[in-house]
Amino acid sequence: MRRKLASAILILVALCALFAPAIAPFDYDRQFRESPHAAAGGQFLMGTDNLGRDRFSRLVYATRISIVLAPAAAAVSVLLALMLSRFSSLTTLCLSLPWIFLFIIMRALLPLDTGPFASILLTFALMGVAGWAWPARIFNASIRQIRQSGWLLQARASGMPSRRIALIHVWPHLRAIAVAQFRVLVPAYILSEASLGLIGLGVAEPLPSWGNLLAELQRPQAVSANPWILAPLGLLMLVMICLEEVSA
Amino acid sequence: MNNALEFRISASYGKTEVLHSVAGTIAPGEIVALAGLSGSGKSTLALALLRLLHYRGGSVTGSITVEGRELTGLSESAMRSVRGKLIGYVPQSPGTALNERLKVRTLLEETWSAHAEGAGSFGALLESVQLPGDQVFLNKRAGELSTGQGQRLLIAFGIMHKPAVLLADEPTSALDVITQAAVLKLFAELNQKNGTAMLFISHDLLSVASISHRVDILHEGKIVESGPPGKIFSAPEHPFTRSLVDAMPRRMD
Amino acid sequence: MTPRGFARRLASRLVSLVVIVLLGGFAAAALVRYSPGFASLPEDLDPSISPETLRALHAQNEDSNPLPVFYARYLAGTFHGGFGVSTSLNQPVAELLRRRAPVTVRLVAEGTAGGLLLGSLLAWAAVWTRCAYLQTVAVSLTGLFLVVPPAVLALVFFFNEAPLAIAVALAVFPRLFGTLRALLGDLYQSPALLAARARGLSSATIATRYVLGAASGQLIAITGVALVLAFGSAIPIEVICGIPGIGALALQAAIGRDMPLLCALALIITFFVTAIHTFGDLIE
Repeated sequence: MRRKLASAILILVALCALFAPAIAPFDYDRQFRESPHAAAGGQFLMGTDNLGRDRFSRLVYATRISIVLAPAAAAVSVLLALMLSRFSSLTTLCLSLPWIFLFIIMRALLPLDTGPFASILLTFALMGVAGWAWPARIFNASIRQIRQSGWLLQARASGMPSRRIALIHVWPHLRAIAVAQFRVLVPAYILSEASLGLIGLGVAEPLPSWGNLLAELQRPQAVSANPWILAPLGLLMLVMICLEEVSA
Repeated sequence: MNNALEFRISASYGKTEVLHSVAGTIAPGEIVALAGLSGSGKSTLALALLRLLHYRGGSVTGSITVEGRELTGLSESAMRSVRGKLIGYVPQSPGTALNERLKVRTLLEETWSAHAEGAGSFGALLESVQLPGDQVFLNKRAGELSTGQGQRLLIAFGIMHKPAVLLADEPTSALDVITQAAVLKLFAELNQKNGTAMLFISHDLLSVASISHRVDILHEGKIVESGPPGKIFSAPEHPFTRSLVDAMPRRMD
Repeated sequence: MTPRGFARRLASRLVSLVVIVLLGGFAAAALVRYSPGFASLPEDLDPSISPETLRALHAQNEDSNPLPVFYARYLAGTFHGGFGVSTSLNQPVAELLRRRAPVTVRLVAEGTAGGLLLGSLLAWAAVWTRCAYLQTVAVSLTGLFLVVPPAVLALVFFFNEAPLAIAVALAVFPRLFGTLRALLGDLYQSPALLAARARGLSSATIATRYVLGAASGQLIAITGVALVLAFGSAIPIEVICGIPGIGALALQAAIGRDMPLLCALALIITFFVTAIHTFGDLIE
C-alpha cells in the first residue's frame, strides 16, 4: 500500500517534470521587475524571488532538471563501474579521494565562462564520473565471488562455451548488482546536487534546479516572510522518501 | 576395448603437492568408489580429471585418457567439447553448484546446447532422475528447489549427453539419509541401464561401497589400497584402511 | 595469523599506502593542469583589464615546466617540509594548513563521535529492546535524516547558532544505522551470546565481553567509514557556513587554480583516507 502510494507520487512528479511547459504559468527565467519578493497567491502561486521570477514555475522546471539528470549521472557511474571494475588498483586510488573533494576540484576547474546549459550537463556528468569507484568496488567483490562459485565450475564442467556462461550465468548476477547500485546512487546524487547547488557549484543560473533553489534558504528572513521558499526542500524530501519506499 | 577412464596424475597448489602420482583405471560400465578423509585430495582429483583445477588455483601433471583419447595437452576449447560430453560431472552441494537466479528450463537448455543442436526434450531425462517434467517445475528458479531436487537435477546434467564416464564428487553428502539412499539407488540404476562408468568420490565408505564394484582408498594424496568392497571390509591390508573400516558403525550384536 | 605473516602484510600495506598517496597527489596535479579551465582566470571576465595585463597575469600563472617535472620538484620540496607557496593566497601552504586543519579535524572528530553514538543508540533501541514502538521511532528518524541534504542541516544549525558538529553527526548517523543494526542483530542471535546467557552471565559481562568485545573489529571499520562520511559532509558545511577549514580551503584552491595548495590537500586527504582503509583492513 505504502509502496503503491510512493510509486503514484513519483509518477505524478515525473509527469509534472515531463509536461513542465504546460504546467508552469511562466518561463523559468521571466523576470517581473515590478514585483520582486511578491507574496504567494494571486498571479504567483508561490510568490516571486528577488529577481521577480515566479517561484512555482521555477520549481516545476527545476524538478525536470533534477529528476532527469540524477538517474543519468547514476547510469554513468554504474556503466563506468562495470567497465573499470577489473582495474582494482584504480578503484582503490579513486576511493581514497572523497567523492565530494574530487567533484569540487573538477567542477571548480571548469572554464569560468561555462554556459548554463553546459553547466547542467557537466555537473551531472562530473557527479557520474566522480562516483564510479564505489559501485566498481562492489562489482569487483562480486566478480571475485562469482569466480569462486560452485555453479561457475559446474557450468564449465558441463562444457558450456565461455561466452554463453558469461551471458547466461554471470550477467544476471551483475545486472542485479547494477540495478541495486543504480537505485542507491539516484537518491545519493539528488542529495549531492542539492548540497552542491547550495554552495553554488551546481547548475548555473538562470536555470533552476532543486539545488540552486535551496540557495534561497540562506536568507532566513525571506523564509519567514514567504514559507513557500521551503517548497523545493519539501518536494526533494518527499521524492527521496518515495524513492526509498519504492526500492525497499 | 579401451578403458572408460585411465589416469596417473599429480596435482599441486603452488608448491604444495596434494596428489602424488595417483593412478586409476575404470572399465566401461564399472563403478569405482574413491574413499578417503576430507582433505585427502578427493575433490582436487575430480577437478584435475576435468582439467578445471587451474580455476581453483592448482596445477596438474600426468596423463588422463578417456576411451583411449589423451586429454592432457588439449586446448581449452577442445577440453570444452570433452567436458559434459565424454566426462559427466556431478558436484557436491546443489546449494552452491546451481546458479540460483536461473530457471530450471534455462539450465537444462544451456547444458543441452553445449553439445547438441536444436531443442532438447528433457521429459525422459527428468523422469530417469525422478524429477517432474511439467512446466511448473521447469519454470522454477534453481534457488527454489529442495536440496534433493537440486542434487537430482545436477545428476541429470551429468548424464544428459550419455558420457563415457561420470565423476560424482560427494553427490550425497548434502542429503538426508533417506534421500541419500534413493540417490545412491538412482546411480546404480543409471549404471545398469546406460552402462555408464562411474567414479564415485566420497568420504562415506559404507554408503558408496554398497553400489560399487571396486573401492580405492585415498590417503594423504596416494592410493594406498584397491579392491572389491568385500575384500576391503573383510581383509583390509593397509593400516589406514584398517582404521577406516574399524571406525565404521557395526550392527550391535 | 603468525606475527611474521602480519609483519609482511603490514609492510605491503604501508608500501601501497605510500604509492596511493603519491598517485593521489599526482592525479590532483594532473586534474588541475589538464582541466579545460586551467588557463582561464577570474580576470578574463573583467572587461576593464587590458589585454597586456591579462597576458602578463597568464604568464605568471602558468608554470612552464611539464607536469612530471613540476610534481617531482614539488615532492622534493615537500620532503624538506615546505609544501610550497600557495599561488592564490600568497602564503606558505604549510602555514595555511597549520591554521586551517584543526578546525576541520575538530568538526570531523566531533561529528563522527556524535554520529556513531546516535547511530549505535538507535540501533540498540531497534534491536535490543525488542520494543516495536522504539523500533519505529529509530527507523523513522533514520529515514528522515537520510533525506535531508547535509547542507540544509548545516544552514539550520548555523542560523540558530547551534554547534555545527551536531549537523555533521546528523548527516552521518543515518548512513551508519543500517550497518550497526545488522551488526547488533547478528550478535543478538549469535550462538556465543545465547550460550553466555544460558550460563547465566550478568548483563554487564554480556554487554562488554560478548557485544563490544565481539564487535570491536567491525566497530573500528565502521568508525573508519564514519570518518570518511563526516569529512564528506563537512566540506559543504564549511563552505556554506564560512568556516575556515580544509574543505573551504579546497574550494578556494580549486577556484584559484592553485596547484601547490591543491596538491598538498590531495596528498593529506589521500593519506588520511587510505590510512583509515588500511587500518580497517589490517584489523579484520
